Amino acid sequence: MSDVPLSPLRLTIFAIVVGVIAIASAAYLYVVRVETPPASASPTRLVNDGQRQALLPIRQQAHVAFREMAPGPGYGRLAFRSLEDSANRVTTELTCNRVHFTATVGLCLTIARDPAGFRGYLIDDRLEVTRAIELPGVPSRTRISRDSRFAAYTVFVAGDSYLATGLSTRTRIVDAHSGSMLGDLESFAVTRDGTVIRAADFNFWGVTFTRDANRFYATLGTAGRILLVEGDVAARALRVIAEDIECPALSPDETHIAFKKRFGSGLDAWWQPAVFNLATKDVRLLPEPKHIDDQIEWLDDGHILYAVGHSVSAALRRADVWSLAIDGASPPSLFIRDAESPAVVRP
Amino acid sequence: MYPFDVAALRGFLAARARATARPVIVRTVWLLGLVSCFTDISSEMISSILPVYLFVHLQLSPVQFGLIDGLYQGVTAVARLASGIVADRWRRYKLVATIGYALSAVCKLGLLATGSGWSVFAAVLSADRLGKGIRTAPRDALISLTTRPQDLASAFGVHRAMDTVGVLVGPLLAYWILASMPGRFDAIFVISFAAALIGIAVLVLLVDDRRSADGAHTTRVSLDLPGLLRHRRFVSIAGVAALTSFVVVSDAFLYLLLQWRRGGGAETIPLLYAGTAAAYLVLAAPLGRLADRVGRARVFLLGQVLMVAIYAGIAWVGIDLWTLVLVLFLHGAYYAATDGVIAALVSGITRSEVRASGLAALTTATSLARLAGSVVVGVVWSWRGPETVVTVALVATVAALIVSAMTLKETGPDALDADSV
Repeated sequence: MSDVPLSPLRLTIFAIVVGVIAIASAAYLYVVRVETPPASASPTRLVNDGQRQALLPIRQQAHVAFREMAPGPGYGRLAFRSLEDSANRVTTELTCNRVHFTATVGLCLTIARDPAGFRGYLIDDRLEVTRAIELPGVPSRTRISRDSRFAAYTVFVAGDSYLATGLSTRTRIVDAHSGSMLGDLESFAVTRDGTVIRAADFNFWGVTFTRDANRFYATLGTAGRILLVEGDVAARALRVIAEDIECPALSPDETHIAFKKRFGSGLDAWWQPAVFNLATKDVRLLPEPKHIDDQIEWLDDGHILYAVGHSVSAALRRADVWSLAIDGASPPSLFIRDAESPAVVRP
Repeated sequence: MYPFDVAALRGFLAARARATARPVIVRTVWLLGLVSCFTDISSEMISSILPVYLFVHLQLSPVQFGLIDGLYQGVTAVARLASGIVADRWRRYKLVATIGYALSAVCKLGLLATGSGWSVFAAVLSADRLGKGIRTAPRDALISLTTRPQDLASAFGVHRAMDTVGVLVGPLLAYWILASMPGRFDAIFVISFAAALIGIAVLVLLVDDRRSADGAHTTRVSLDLPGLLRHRRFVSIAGVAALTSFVVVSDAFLYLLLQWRRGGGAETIPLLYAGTAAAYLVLAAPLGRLADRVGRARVFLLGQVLMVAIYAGIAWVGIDLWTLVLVLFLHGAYYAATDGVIAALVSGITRSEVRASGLAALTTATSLARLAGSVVVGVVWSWRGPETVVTVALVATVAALIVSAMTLKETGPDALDADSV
């Protein structure tokens, strides 16, 4: 039971092997570090003076806020572009994974450092960060109501399900100015055909607000089914109104809900954009062969925007924003190259 | 030179052990602790950033995630049993464990090639789990076969504590890379692979195989898994362990209960995991030693008492910051009093020829029981809500405590003879 000393030969071989592994991995880290611009350290300064000047004319007209995806020092940062003039594009200093904006308020969900955590930054009309919200998980979706009163976000929380490795979502609505929580959808009462339903596996994601902000739509996932719910912030209530409508986006004229429709099942499932007519309850599938998994944004009452990822590997993720007419008659067209998470702002 | 040194050292160690009654933790145990530490740094790096990788970077849909789960549970149960039996049959514990560690290490590189397809990803994750299933039983057998019977719980405690260091370090390392090199998941996978390789280097180059330490045992093993399953004491202890795993709600559900009682958000889930792990890290070795001194069954029962206390606390005491810290401390203590201790209990009553099979059967039983327990908790939660979950858990753990106390008493005092089956 007592130990025989290790032979010097074994120890030497071990030291060499560990040395080689350590040097090789340090070299890899070094190369990656040199190649990759660091994330913005702290959001004290979102834009420098030059960027502020360049942004003024863009922000006064209709524009798009998005996440810059062009490789280079601006990768992953919040950017703005004039809706009309595609060359008029400014990238800020703030790294965001998901953004949404109105003319007066913005919310940037990010994987932050100093201190490390998942955080949401509320941004005011002068492009200053006014509040930091600690997020309970990995950023997924965010939307701000058209009247700039409320903001909603969805995050993924690992290990929140009854199988320890499972995954769930958490969706909250906050005051878009103070950041104070108005409600976690999991605490809202859910009814279906007048009957209260509840289950431990309820997951909510993808809020889209109506014009008065108090009313909204969202997705409820339970027992493998996808339900469209209509919610009321003040009443803290949700009502199931349709099935198989995932990640809704309400059109500006409030006549249609654009969503992603799932096809196939299991690991081979894919999604295609579609629109749901709220009056007729008809679903129209749109001609987009590329795989999409994004919450759709409306460009205007007749066109939608969404990001499509490409060249995705462990070291790289690129994406472009595409636009598509909801009449289903024309093919999608490239809207913003090297961008994702678009938000259309019409001051 | 060596024979003299060995004899002297052996005499010295024996004398010291008798004089101080200190547990003798042999080098193999420290080294296997180091192997587990590096392996856990490697695997926890991946699991902590997996949601970010899948859902932010690859933008896969969470709907598909649940499907992978069921797949792995079945695979690991079979792999565990098979690896235990094979390790016993060939008496090649180190070899079988190395295969398991190597498989998981290769998977870290495999992640680099996953791109945006779920199918490849599912295959890589399943292979990773398979590797974990393969390595556990032969590694625990190696720990138990190189340790003096009276020091088994201490040795498992030391191993589990070192293992937990990796659990705490891995996520921090992954998060540092993620925050300082945004979007470069390749860096995380490469460093995770490097950590796994260092673990394997320790195992292959420094850990002595049981065969060389044991002398040549080539006798055909007659007593195998079926024999083991007919052995009353083994079945009693494994049954008690499985019962405990069944009634104790999973970490994820316990944290949900705590959040429900606090009325707060889920902000703190990673912190709750870290809190439990920190308490486990600190207490694993001392409670293992305590188990060797006062009886492993007693310390195991103490663990169950702690769990009863936790549910009683959730049911009747308000959860503020300090009670939350206390609950996490008790939760870590529960693991420290049960996980390594039950491995020591089983090791203490199974013959060395079937040690790996016995440990494999134990972990298979406990992991399946845990899974079944989680499903029941999920159903109860959906059906009646968290209040009922707490009540049911409290009643069930008290019942399990009584059954365990009676069963373990019946099996007699802890066997110190390693070949007692």
